[in-house]
Amino acid sequence: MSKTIFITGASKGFGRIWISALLERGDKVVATSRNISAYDDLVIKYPATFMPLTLDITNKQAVNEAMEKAVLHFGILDVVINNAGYGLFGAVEELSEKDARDILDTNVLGTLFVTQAALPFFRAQGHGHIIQLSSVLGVWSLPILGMYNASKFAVEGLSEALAKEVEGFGIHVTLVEPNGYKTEFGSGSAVRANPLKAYDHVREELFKTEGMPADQYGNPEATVDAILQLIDAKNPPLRLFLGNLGLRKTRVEFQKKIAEWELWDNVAVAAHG
Amino acid sequence: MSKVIFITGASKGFGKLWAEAFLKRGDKVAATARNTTALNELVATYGDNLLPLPLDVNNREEVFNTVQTIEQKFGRIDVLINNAGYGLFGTTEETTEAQARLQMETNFFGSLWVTQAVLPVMRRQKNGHIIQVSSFLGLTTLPLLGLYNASKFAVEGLIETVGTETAHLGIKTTLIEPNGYATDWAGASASQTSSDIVDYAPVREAFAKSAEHPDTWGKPEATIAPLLNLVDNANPPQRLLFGKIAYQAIQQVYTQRLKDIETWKEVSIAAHGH
Repeated sequence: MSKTIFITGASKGFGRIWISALLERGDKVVATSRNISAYDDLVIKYPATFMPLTLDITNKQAVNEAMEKAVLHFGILDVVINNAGYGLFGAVEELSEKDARDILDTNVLGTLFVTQAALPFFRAQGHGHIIQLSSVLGVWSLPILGMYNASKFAVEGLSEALAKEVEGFGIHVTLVEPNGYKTEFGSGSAVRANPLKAYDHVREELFKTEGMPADQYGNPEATVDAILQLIDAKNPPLRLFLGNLGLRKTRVEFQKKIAEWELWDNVAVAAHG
Repeated sequence: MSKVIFITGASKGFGKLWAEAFLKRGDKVAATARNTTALNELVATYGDNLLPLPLDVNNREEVFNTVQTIEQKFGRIDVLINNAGYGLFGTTEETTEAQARLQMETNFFGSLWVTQAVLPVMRRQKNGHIIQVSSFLGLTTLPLLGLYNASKFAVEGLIETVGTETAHLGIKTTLIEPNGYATDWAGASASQTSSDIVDYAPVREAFAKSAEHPDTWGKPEATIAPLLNLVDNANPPQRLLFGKIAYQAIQQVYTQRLKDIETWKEVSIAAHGH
């Protein structure tokens, strides 16, 4: 049976690839962007099943109106994909107040507003699936990406708590955690801070690893099957890695953290009193 | 040797307790809070070793000015303790934009601004320890604490990154993750969303029931010796749990997460594409 999907920021990258696949198989899609001209070809190709909406997700009122329009248009809403988001490169000390606030607004508060707008409809119909674009960097961190890490960590905490709040209503929540992919993340979409010399060394290290094995980055087209399976699943998981690095490295990172906590456990216990 | 400690949110809770413990053993303390009158008694006892400064950590410029004042007074900053923060209770759906923003402002941006202001000082010293009060709820979640979880998860991601970025500069970072403590975190200090949506009544009831076991809460005074130990340690950990419940609980959480991930492992790997 065809589904109705509301997705943010789908004019390029993952979002664009996914909506093409969803429309191709007959699903109905509402896709938002600050600039919807990027959707013109899809409007022509799928006039009955595709609806583009101009939206700045950091405007809560506008988000509520867009969600209402979408539900009125198709009469039902099965899946919301919070896909809008971008990267910010810069050591934590280098970040300007504006750059730090802007990325949190889009990556966290925008996600919160869209989620909040969908919840009344999902509760009323007794089903719904909220899919949040997190990242492997929502689970562990890389230097020079501190604000991006923080924003994705925040989405993880928010969404995991949300899942516990809404499970009784038949509403599912999934955090999708891609590793690096050949999208525009590192080039066109990202914002960069003014560099300080003290961090040149760290920056060079990061970009050195970035340039290493050619197959380190996933192929965005290969994620389509995973997203379709996720959308069609009766019991979707709370978390889904995209790519081969997430599970491997997360196991190592968790073990490292646990080993350190174990080493200091006598201090932790003494602190209880 | 005596240390210079800068601690935010020092008018009550852990902050005040720790500030007093540092002063008692002869350290110098710069203690900030929106309202510093609660520190008057300590000023009377410890005089010049305590510098109380009114500060709203949400104001980045004010934060930078405050750090300058501290450096002028004490000549250096050995340890920063980002302690200011509070809990927002309520469902994600019922959280207003203003409540969400304020929770992130104080718990996350406040720590970011203070850290940014202190880093140049510590870089000049080629030495320093940034201690961030996170929470067990920066690692795992509870319903009705979504925005608090988000703010503490965010400081975990942020300070972990600061640690990686500044290790070569002689700066150390530690995230402290306390389990429940008998401070007024869940009482007078807490903020609360509306509870207008009746659908969530069962979630609220379950939450209230789970909070009925104050015997599982730690004693704030017991954290003093471990904190002093942390500050004096030549090789402090990146993360330190506080409390007897946290370690076992987080082990279970991580084990379960890895198990859950296995279920969709093949889908994940196929999505890499090659």
